[in-house]
Amino acid sequence: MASKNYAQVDRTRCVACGACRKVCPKSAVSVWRGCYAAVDENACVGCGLCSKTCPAGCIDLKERIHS
Amino acid sequence: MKKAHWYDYLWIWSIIYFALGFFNILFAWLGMIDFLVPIIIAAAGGNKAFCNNFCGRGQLFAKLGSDCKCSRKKQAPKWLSSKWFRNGFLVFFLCMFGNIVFQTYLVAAGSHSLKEAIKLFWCIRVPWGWTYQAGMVSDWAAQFAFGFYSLMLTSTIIGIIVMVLYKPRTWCTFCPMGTMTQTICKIKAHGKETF
Repeated sequence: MASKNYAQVDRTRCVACGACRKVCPKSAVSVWRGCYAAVDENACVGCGLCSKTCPAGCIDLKERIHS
Repeated sequence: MKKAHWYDYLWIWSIIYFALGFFNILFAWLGMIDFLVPIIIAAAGGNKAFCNNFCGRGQLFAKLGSDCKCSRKKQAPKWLSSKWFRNGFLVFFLCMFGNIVFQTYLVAAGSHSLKEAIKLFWCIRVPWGWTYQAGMVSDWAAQFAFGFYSLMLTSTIIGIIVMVLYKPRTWCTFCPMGTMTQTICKIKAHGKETF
């Protein structure tokens, strides 16, 4: 069952430092071609660790919309 | 529990680098590794593997800030990670580096004599003469070492300050190397299918 929330990265503000990738307990975050962090929404459990860690403050938790 | 890799311990290299420069300034030249390798990786590999895995300073800030609980973990002002500040800071740093190269040239040309001191924050002169004995190498090589060590130490001190005030890796948001390598990566990735 998918989590209530998932992490979403503001790619325009992300500096691709990789701090979020390091703390993700589910390895759901990767840095795409050194440009921005990308979250695998299927693997993300919405724990919020990446959001708390991100120094640029560009990761928010969004509520999943279930059909 | 994530598996530890050898590169997870490169924060030790950061400490070693500054300790070495405290005893012999010529070790400052090793800092060119931290300057050239990220650019080579970005240009050749098209990624920020250095920032993400190998940066000793980023690891040191994370270790001091999180593990040693030295960070307040507050959100930094948004303007610190804005495009204009990051690029402006990069230009500033490149100008300062250019000045280091210029001072090196002046000493090499015999126009200026070697100054055995470092400058913190580009203006606070700190005597560092015990780390060099005249004649070890050419004076210009020592001049570059003093200048480069000054740059590295100043940026580390700035990084420690923002690590304490804000989140541990706040320096990474405006690190000139990060800005440069991300720009290179974005140019290389232009037109490629997005994630």
